[in-house]
Amino acid sequence: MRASGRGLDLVRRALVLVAVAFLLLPLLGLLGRAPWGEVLAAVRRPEVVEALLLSLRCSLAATALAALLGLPLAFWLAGPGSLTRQLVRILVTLPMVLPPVVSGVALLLAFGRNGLVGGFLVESFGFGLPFTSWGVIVAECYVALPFFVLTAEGGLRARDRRPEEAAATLGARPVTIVARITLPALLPTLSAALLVSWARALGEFGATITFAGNLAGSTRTMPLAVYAALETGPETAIALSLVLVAVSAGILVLMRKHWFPIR
Amino acid sequence: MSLTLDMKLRRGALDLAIELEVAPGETLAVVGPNGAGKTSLLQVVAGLLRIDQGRVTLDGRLLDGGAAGTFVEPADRELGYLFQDHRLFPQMSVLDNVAFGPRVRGRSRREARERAMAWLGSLGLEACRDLRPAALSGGQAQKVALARALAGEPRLLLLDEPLSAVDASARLELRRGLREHLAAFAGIRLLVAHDIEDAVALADRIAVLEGGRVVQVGRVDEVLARPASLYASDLVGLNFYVGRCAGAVARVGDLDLVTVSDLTGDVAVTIHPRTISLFLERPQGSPRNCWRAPVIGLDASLGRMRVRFGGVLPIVAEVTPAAVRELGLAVGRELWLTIKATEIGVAAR
Repeated sequence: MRASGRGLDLVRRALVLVAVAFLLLPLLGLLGRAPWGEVLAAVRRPEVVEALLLSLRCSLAATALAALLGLPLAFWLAGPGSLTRQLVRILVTLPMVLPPVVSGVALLLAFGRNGLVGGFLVESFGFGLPFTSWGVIVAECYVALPFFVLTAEGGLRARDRRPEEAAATLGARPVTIVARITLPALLPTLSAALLVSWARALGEFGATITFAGNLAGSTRTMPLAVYAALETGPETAIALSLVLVAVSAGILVLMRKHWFPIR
Repeated sequence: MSLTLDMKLRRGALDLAIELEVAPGETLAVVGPNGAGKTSLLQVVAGLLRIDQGRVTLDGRLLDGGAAGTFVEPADRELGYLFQDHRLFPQMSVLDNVAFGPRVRGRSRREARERAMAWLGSLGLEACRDLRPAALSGGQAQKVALARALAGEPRLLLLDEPLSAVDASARLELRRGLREHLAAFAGIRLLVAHDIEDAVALADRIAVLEGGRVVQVGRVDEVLARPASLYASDLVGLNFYVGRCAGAVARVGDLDLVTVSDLTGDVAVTIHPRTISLFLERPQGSPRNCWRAPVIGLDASLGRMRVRFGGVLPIVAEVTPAAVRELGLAVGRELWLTIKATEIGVAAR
């Protein structure tokens, strides 16, 4: 028994090491191959700055949109179980499971110039989503929404409802209870939901390129710029990737207290 | 102004069927074993639990008319609810907690804070105003919860075992504070008490709840003197039996007891342990309730000795330690017991 216990312990340690190495090696590869002289120059190139700013703007807008649409949806989904809720939950989860390219095609068929809603938008307002920054935001929001909704719903389900009952007996209406009791108590969960949906939006590639295209300045976000650079010169792609790694890691470090509270 | 309930409710294991009236300006204590439905009763009055059938009314205003009937939301019932586990809002300061009620009931921010400060002052908690609830002791937290419940100017105050989560040292003080504030509160008070001492200290009347039914309701002294259920009798340490009465003679166990009752049929019989006299020899004269029984146990409690007897009628007698020595009380010893007919409580069941 003793010996097998120690054996298991060794296996466990080995697996932890393998997992950490698995996550670390690609980063090391990127750092090892980086053309350090070129990185600084690459960052200052106008098209890179443009792609980076576009990525940040669109991913933040998509996250905000996902929160705006996702929070009421999460509240509704956290209600008592019913068939409608189960079906809607499947619908919400779908973009998480679908290959992003398929999401892009589906978005095109719905919101494209000849799509279900898109045609109406163009005819009535002369406004088309595809191949615009709005299209990028829509594509990113579509794939990020499930992450926000499912994380928020989990927190809402697990929450302590007793303070809400207490607030009701004190005369608080449902809207007041949500604003002053439920949401403040849910802040850690909501931060996590924002983080995962923002991460998903920032890294979005497939749906974006399919639905919004790859136009420098309006729809070429960082992942698309990396992909485009890989065709012409891998050195530039590595430099751009490093920028993306630095920005993402920097935000995680800055927000660590907020997003990963140590209990 | 009164609260009346005549309701039925079934939810899983919960089965409530309650008729109850609480008069203006009175404190009614609801006592009963765990799972009797005491907290559910308060939740029904608060609107946190909807009834299936019947009516809950406050001052003639229908609060809950049963399934598909009228239902007034908790927020519109003008009540204050003191929970067992204070339920203060963890992310708010003590002051904001107490100001919450007046604020959501339409007072301005300043007014709400002034009211909250006044309540904190009357409970001696001004110094805690900026603290978070987590920094308070159990007794302080429950006082803040009381201030919060009262600050919204409720017409009905519901208290769910308000002293049970507080440690013994803070308990007496908190009970005193509660008594003062309950006396000063003009509305209806409904108190769930786990401890008979809380009920005796705080209530005007007691309702005994067992299995979701009110088995007895009456003035505190009445219920203590004549408990109508095993639970109530245990609470106050009385001997309690269910028997049959035919005129003055009540048959309990294998014994006929002469009483002063004139009831016929099933009765609840109570005998206070201190009214039983013990003798080594059969007493002189002819006491009518007199029998011989062996001692099967001795327990010291609060300076008295509780003597448990077996035989025809298991019973507990209470005597002084001096009597224990005089009588040479020991387990196995046989003694004569007598009880005066006038000391035997008999109530119809």
